[in-house]
Amino acid sequence: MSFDLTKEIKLDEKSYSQYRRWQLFFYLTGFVASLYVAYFIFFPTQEFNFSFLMLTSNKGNALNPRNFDGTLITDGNFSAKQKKYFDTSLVGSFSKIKLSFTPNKQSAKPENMHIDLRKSYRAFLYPEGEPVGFKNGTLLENNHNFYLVSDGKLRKFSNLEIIASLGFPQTVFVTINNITELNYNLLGEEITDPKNYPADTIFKIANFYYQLNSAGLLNKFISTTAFHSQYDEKLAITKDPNFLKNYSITDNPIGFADGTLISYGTSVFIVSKNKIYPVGDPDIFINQGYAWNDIITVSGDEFSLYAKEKLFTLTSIHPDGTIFFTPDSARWYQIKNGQKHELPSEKIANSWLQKNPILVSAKSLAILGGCELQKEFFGNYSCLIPLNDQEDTAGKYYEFTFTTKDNLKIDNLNVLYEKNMTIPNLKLALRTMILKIKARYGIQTNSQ
Amino acid sequence: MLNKKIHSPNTLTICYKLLHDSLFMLIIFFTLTLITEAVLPGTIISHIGFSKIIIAMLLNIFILKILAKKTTPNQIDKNICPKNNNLKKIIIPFYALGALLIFNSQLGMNIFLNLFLLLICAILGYLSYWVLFD
Repeated sequence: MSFDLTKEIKLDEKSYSQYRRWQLFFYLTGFVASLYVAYFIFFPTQEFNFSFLMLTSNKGNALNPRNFDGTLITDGNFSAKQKKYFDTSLVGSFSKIKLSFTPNKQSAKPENMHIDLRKSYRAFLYPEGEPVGFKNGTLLENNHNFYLVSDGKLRKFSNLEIIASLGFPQTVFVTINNITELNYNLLGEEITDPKNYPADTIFKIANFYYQLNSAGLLNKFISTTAFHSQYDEKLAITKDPNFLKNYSITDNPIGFADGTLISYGTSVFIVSKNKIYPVGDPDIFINQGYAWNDIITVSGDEFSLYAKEKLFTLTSIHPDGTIFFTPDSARWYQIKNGQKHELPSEKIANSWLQKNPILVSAKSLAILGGCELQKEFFGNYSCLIPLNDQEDTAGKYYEFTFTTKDNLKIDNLNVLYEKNMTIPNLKLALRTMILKIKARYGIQTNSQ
Repeated sequence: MLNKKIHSPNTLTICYKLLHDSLFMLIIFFTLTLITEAVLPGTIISHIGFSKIIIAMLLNIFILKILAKKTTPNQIDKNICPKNNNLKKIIIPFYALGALLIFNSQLGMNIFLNLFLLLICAILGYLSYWVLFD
């Protein structure tokens, strides 16, 4: 009983034994090849390359080598004693990163050059700016003093009668025990006029919501859901429709709070200012730290308020208005204009938050690892940064920084992510696969 | 000398037989890839594209075709012919696999619509076979 697919083809005995030997070799090769395929499925590698000699080959796989000010380095010239950056974004847990520099033959050599690594969300690694105070429209109380945050400033009600005559219910004022929390909003003029409302007062008129702007005009919220993405229901003063006779309504409706997740049709978008960013796919949504239950389904009218921006991918930066929370240090940060601004207390953070913040470890701001370049064969300089392959922390953005001693001219930069062939890694890969299959077929997993 | 050896009928026949084995391995690999991709999309094609596997199979078939012409008729034992029974044994699991793959590709759909489309595919397949081969 020999395995022969072509029994009808006859061979003499010598040739047949020759065929059998080759056949065995073929099947053994096939078996080894299948083991190799299994190896790179269970222990994948991921490579990123940047060639300074052939820039057109870098599309879609760029490492963004850049200066401190963010300008891209395309000529391979790395000037001495200046901090340089490059980065990658990818999903998955890896055991080590191999960094390789190929210097130009005429260049100084990058031997012993130290490279540091940080891993987080790209926006969370922004430089820290001034702390931010309470959101406009928030009502605050401290030591029997009552305030409204109006136009970014803290405006004190001069007495309780004014609060009563304007119709602000005293129960909605958030009590602030620590007066330092009020220091993050500049002090504005006192509210003394019992008839005219200060800017940023919120009204509810015939089930529509409005906010008074600094020009004394009313901005209408596009919808109830848009209002609730910005403020709590109880902040709105209820008025009858005659109240609208006293004010003009602007043509610029207020939409959803910055950082809100909206869905229209089968797509999900992130709102920021008057723009929306379509999220590439469910994996990107999860890996950028968002939660499914924060998505608000919107109507065509609400959707048409925004201009569509380019796709939000794994390499994209969280847009302005995104709020991060670090559970390990209990701090909140808001992204704005290329900086992250601390929201110095939970009450300040709550004035901005109507959805879950994006969770990130405060430790991710620190250096995760580093290595020093050593000479390899063929004139390359490389080093390995070990990683914890059993821990896949939030944030898929890897930022590498280094400072060169001499001016360098680099021809090629290569980053290779590798996974060690170990039993725990195999188990992890199998577990991830099973979870993915379960998710694909809608099989629920009991959380421990 | 080497040229002579390569072009000897026995060497060509050995190659011809080996190409059947390699085609068999490629078909097995292609089938397993199809199943894996149906269950977990992107697992294999992120490393090896379908096009590469198909090109390898077509190339294998092309060389087989060329070598078949060069195989001397006296090397074919007419008493041993591939049995139709064997073919049926293979075809039935392949049909079942095809049906499962089609069903799986429409998993997001209503189950009855999915089954209805599967039935339509089976009827179309049968009619096509009937028109082309009967």
